[in-house]
Amino acid sequence: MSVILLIDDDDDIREIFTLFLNLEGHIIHSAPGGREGIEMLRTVHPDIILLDIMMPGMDGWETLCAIKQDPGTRALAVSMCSGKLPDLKEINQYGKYIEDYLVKPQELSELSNILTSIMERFIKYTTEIESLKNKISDHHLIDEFYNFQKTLYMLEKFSRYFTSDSEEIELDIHRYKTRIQEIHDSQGYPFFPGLLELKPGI
Amino acid sequence: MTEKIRILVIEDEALVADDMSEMLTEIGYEVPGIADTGEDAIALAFKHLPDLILMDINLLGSMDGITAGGEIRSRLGIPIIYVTAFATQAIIDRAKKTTPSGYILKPFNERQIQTTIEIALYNAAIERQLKERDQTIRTLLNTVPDDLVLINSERKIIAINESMAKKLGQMPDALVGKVIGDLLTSPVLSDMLSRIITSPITGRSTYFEEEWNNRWFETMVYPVADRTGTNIRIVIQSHDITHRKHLDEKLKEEGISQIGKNMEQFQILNDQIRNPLQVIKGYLSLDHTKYGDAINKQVGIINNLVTQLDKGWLESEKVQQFFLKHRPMFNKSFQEQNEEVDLQ
Repeated sequence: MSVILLIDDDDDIREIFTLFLNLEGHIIHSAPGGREGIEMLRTVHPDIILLDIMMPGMDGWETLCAIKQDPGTRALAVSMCSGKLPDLKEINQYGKYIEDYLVKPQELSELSNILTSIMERFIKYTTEIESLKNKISDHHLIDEFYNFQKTLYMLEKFSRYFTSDSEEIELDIHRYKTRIQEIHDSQGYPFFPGLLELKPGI
Repeated sequence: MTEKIRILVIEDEALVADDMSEMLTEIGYEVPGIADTGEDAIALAFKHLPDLILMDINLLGSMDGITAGGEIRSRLGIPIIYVTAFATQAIIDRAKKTTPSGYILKPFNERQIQTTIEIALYNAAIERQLKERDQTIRTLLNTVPDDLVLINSERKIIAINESMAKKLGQMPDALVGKVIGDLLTSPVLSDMLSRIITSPITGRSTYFEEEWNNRWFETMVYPVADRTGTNIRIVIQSHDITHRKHLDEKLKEEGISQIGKNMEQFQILNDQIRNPLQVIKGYLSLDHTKYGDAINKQVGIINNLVTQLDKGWLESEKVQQFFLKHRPMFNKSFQEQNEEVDLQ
């Protein structure tokens, strides 16, 4: 059982998501916009935030930035959930701040499993980062390592949509992989157990 | 009845003048006036605007007939026949410079003077026609806002309009007969045009556009042969198309930004289309209806279509960047483009 905050301006989406996730035994809080969602975070401490992007007023990316800038909410797991595909710029800009990016429509019977696996990965990362920060003094390097991993995951997940940009994508992927490998080699296995283990799915 | 030909008689000896006047009247001409000085001759010419002037070279007063004749010829264009009892080579040389219509030596008879006058009048009529035609052509050349020049196979200027002459820094008349390549000591013409003007003349016509001094020019170079088909002349016409070019650029930019706007619209719509698809899918899996799979399949089809549109958006940015990146290509000179083509 998890606590989930759903931020989406579409009433029907909030209703049907709430219905399904309730059936799976989760506790759902929902907000119709970014501002309302952030307001809700004062009292609610979700395990994961499902965030729509195209919303009137404060959109999803703005909401994400607000959450990640606030020290009180920065550590929360956020997954985007939108009817819009991310473009390359968005992936490179926001990829490191999100745990995943779900594209509607989702198979709702699977949604609970998907969210669970995202949260498991998030917890695994968080734990790894914490233990690494006790061993390695260069904390910036650790953050960089995981940020790159997350961006790389997004690039690989959506690469098939960028048919005309495939070369650029391949180049980006190669760049991130090289840097991740460099960071890893500078410290040595098994300090970075998560190395290249990510598999894009869902 | 046709009007009589009017002839002024300028003669320092009154008796001779009267004789001549009488003779002319008898032939059928009209003599509106007689003068015995150069000054009076000019005044009478302005007053009567005669068809012809019989001008004695020796006149009373300080001004001789040649000076007066030259003055009248250059200012009024009236044909002059010099009349004299004697003529040294020096006098004839001086007279020549005023482009007279004829000479007649005293004494002369009626037939001699009539023949000389008729030939002079005939030549004057031809001259007038040529002048009018020249004027018409000149007007045409100068009315066109383009730069125009006609050169022969030796690249000598045969005709040039004011616009082109202005670029070469001289009046059109001063340029006729000069070799055009010699005038290009400073970069007054675009690179390509200068190159064409100074390169060997071919029988082919050429067309090109190029940018020069922040302006765009469309230039045509085409050969024209004379009636025999051998004497090739080249017409060069250069037209300022800066305005049109800027308009093209603007249209192109507007087109690109319109594509961008359309794609943005798609983006918002796609997002909105997927929400109801999500809701339908949700309710379907709750209901487990008989047709659930079939409906789900249709939802999938709609979703795929929306994804196609999404790809269009993702690629539209690439299209825009492509245009922006390749815009400098349009600014390259004709030659560079040509070389690129050659390489291919």
